[in-house]
Amino acid sequence: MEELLERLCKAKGVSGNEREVAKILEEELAPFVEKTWKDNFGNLIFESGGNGPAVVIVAHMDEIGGMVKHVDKEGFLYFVDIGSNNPQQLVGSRVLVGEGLPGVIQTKKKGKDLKVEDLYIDAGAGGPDELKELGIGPGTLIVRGPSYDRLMGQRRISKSFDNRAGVCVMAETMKRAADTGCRLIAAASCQEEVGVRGAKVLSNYIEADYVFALDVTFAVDTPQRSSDRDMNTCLGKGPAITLKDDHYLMRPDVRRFVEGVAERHGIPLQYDISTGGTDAGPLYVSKGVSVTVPILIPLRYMHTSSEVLDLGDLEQCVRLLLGLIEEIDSHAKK
Amino acid sequence: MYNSLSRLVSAFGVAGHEEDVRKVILDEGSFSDYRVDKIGNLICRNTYDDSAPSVLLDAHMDEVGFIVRYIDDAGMIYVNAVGGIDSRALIGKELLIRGEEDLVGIVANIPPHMSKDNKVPGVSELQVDTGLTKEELQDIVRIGTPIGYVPHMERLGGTAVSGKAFDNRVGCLALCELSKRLGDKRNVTYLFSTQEEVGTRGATVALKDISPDIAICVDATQGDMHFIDSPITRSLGSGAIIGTGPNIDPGVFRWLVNSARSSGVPYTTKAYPAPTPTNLRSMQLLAGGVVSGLVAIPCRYMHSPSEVVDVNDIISVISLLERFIDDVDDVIRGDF
Amino acid sequence: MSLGELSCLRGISGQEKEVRSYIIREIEGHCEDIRTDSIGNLYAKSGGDSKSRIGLFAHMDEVGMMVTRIDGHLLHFDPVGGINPVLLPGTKVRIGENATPGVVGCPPKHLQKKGEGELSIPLEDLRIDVGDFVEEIEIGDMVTFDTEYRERSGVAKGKAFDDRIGCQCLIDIIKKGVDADCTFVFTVQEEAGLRGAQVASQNVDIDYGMACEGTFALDQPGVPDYDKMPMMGHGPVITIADRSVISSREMVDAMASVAGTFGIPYQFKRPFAGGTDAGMVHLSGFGVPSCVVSNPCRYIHSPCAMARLEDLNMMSKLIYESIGRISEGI
Repeated sequence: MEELLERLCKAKGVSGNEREVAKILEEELAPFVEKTWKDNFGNLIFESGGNGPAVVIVAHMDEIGGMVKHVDKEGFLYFVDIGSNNPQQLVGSRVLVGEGLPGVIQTKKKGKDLKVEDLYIDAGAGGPDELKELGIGPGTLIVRGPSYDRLMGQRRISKSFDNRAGVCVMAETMKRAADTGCRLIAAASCQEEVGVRGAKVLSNYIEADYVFALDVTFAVDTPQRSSDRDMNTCLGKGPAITLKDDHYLMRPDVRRFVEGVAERHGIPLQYDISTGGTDAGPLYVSKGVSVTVPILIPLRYMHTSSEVLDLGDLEQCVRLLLGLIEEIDSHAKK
Repeated sequence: MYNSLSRLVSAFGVAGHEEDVRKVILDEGSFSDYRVDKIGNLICRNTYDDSAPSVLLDAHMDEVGFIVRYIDDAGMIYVNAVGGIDSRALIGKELLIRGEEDLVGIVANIPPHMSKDNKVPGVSELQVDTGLTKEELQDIVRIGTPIGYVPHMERLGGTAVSGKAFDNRVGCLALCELSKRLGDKRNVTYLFSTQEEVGTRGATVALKDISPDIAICVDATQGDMHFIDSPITRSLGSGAIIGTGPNIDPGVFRWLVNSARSSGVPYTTKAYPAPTPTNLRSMQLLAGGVVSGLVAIPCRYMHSPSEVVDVNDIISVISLLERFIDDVDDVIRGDF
Repeated sequence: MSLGELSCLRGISGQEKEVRSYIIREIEGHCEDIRTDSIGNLYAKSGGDSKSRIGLFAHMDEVGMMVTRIDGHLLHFDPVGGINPVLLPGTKVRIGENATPGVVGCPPKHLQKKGEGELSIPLEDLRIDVGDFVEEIEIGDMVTFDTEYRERSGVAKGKAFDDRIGCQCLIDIIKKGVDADCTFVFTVQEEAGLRGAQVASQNVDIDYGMACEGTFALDQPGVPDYDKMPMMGHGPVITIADRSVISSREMVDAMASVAGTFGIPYQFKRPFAGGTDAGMVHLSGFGVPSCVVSNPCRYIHSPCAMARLEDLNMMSKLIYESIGRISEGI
C-alpha cells in the first residue's frame, strides 16, 4: 500500500486538474474492477462486486494549490489560492509551476499577517516572455513540490496526504474487497477543496445504500495543541468518524453500527467534531443515498507542504471499511 | 392549545435527535397517514383530494442545543453548539443531558467577587457541571451525547408565554391544529422537518421526493426586543407575519395578504431582502423550483433558554393558513 | 441597440417582471418554445440542431434595495445583492411599481463632527427620503438606482450593465439566428446567490453551459498597475476560474481559438474573483462543462457603470462564433 501512497502523493492534482492522479488510479484498479467511467465533471467511478447492497467509497483526488494571477516584468509570478492555503506556511515552500518548472514561494512583506497577495514565486525567470515560451502565464496551475519521506516507525511525511491518503485507502479497499457480494463502487471525486463540487455532482445521480466518505482530519497531538480538551485526534489511534461537522450529523444508529464493527474486529476508533465539511456533506442530503459515514485519517500539519501521518492508521482504516462491507454483505444475505 | 404547546415544548429535540418531538406531533395532530425518512423528517397526510393543488406546509421540529466534545478529569463536560447560540444566555443555566439516562448539569460560573473582567466565554469554553465524577459519568455520557435546554413553559402577562424551543414548536403546533381543522379537505402534506437549525437539511432531503404546487414555511421570526430597534423585528401581538422578498413568490405573498384581510386575521408584512433564515431558502430551489410563501410568528430572545411568544399570534397564523388553503385553487390560477 | 432600454428597466432579485416582459417582446418570433418557470426564469430555444447542446445564461436582475420599514417620509432599506454602502449617500432612487422618486440622504459637511467625514456611513444609519409620507409605498417594494442612460463616442454609461449587457448580447444572438441546438435562459435572482440558475439547471438538458455577464473592468484609479485586468476597450473577458466555477479548459481553448480565427480581441479575468450562474449550471446532472464570458465595465454594482459598445459587439461575435465551434464537438 505504501508504494501506491507514495506515487499518488508525488502526482500533481490541483483542484480542476486531477488527470495525473486519475491515471494512476485507473492503472492500479483496472485488474480489480468490472467497469470504469468518468462523469462530465471528471469524477472517476469504478464498479465491481456482486448484486448486493450498493456500497460507495468516496475520496477526493484534488489537492490545494494555486493559480498564476500575473507575471511582473522581472519574471516573478503572483498567484491566487486554490483551496485554503496558510500564507504563513507557504513562505519558503518549493513548488512546481505548470508542467514541472520548479520555483520557491517568497514574501515581499515581513510580519505576521501575510496574505496570498504578499507572496510571489521565483522560478528563476528573467521576464514574462521566457515563461510564456514554456506556456506559463495567468491561469497556470501551481502545485507543491513532491516530498515523500519516511520518518520514524510508521510515521510518514509528504505533501497532499490530504487526500491521497484517502484515495490510497479507497484503492486498497477495492482491491481487498473484490469478492464481496455487495455492489462495490469507488468514486474518486474532483474539486473537493474548492467547495466539495465533485461530491455535489455525485449527489445528483449516485444511488447507494451506504456511502463511506474518506478524508483527513486534524491531529493536534503536537506542541501546537492549545489544550487537551480541544477536540482533536491523535496519530496511531486509528481512523476517526465524524459525529458532527458543519454539514453533517451522525445518526445514533449509524454510530452504533460502525462502533459494533470496529469493536468486533479490534479496530481502534476516534471521533471528530469539527467545523468545515467533506464530500460527505452533499451526499448526506442526496436523494439516492441512504446512509453516509465520513471516515477520517488523522493528519498533522494539514494543508502545508509537509503533512505527517501514521501508516498504521491507514491500515486500520482499510480494515474498518472491509469490516463494514462484510457486515453489510452478510446482513443482506440473511 | 396551551397544553398542546406545552407538550411540544417539553419534548427533547436538539437537531439530529428529534424522535421525541415526532411522537408528540403524532399525538397532537390528526393524520391518517405518515412516514419517517432517512434524516428523520415526519411527513404526514390525511386522505386527500387529488384534483386540488398540492400544498406543502413545513415546520421544523428541531431546536438548538449542544453536543458533548470532551469530559475532563474533574468530570466537567465541554460542549460545542448545535445551531446558533449566544453564550451570554448560558452562564449559570441548567442544561438537560440526554445520555444513557437524563441528567441535569449547571453551566459553571465564577462568583462575582472573583471574576476579573466582563468577558463572556464562547460556547466551546463553557463547562457543564453535573456534580458527578468522570468515573460516575462514564456509562452515562460520552463524546457526541446531545444536550438541550431544560424544558419549561409559563404563562406571562396577557396572552404571552415563556418557554424553550418556541422556535419552532409554535410552527409545529400550528400545523397540528391545522390538520385537525382541515381534516381531509384539499391536498395538504405536512412536513415536520429536521436539522433546520444546522442548515435546512431535513427540508432539503424531503423536497427531493415531493413536488408541491405551493410550499408554505411556518417558522418563528424575531420579536420586538428592547435591545434592538431594527426593521427585522415584529411586535408580539401583531398577528401573522407574512414575508416578502426574493425567497417568496410575489403571487403567494399577495394571496396570503388577501386571505388575512378578507378573514380579518391580524397581520403585518416583513421584507426579507436576502434568502430567508428558514427552510424556505432551500425549498424554493428544489423540485425544479417551488412556488413558496413564508408565514411567521414573532418570538423574542430566540435560541435562548427562555423565549417569549404571544399565543394569539399562533392562532392568527392558523386561521390565516386555513383561509389560504381554502382559497388555494384561486391562488394557483392567479398570475405569477 | 437597445442596451439603453434594457438598462432603464427596473428589476431587482425576485421582481424581474418588467425585464422579462421586455425580453419576451424582443425575442418573440425569433426563437421557439418561449416559457417561464415557477421562480420566473425565462427560457427560449433556437430552432437548430447540432452534435452538442449549448445553454446560454444571462441574468435579468440588477443589484438594488428593498424597503424594510416605513417611518413617515423616511424609508429603511436593505441591499438586495452586493452594494458597497459607501456609494449610497446622495444617490437618487426609484421605489416600487410606481417608480416613486426618493433620495438617500447624506448629512451636510457643515454639521460634520471632527473625523466623522473619514468613515463611510454604516448601512443601518442610511434612509431613503421620499419627501412626505407616500401611501403607495409598502414594505418589500423594490428600490432601483435612478440613473439616466447616456451614450457618446462609443462609451455607454448607465445602471444595471450587470447583467443587462449579457441580456442584450443574448437577444442579439437570438435575433441573428444561430444554427445549433441552443437553449437561452434569462435567469432571475443571480445577485441573491445564483438562485434562478440553481432552478434553471434542473430544467434544461444541455451538454455545455455559458454564462454571459458584465464584470469589473479594473483599469481605473485606485487599482495597483498589476491588478488592472481586465480593461475596458480590450475586448470580451474569458474567465479561467472564478469563485463559483473552474471553467472547462476545452471551452476556454475553443473560444481563444475562435477569437484568433476571427480576429476578436479578448482578455482573461483575474482568477478566483466573483461568481456567476455558471457556478450552478456546471454542477447539475452528471456535470456540465461551462465557462463565463463577460463584458468589462467600470464601476459595476454602482449607480452608474461604464462600458465600451465595441466590447459588447466583440462579445456577441465571440459567443456567436464559439457556439458554432462548440456545438459541433470539442
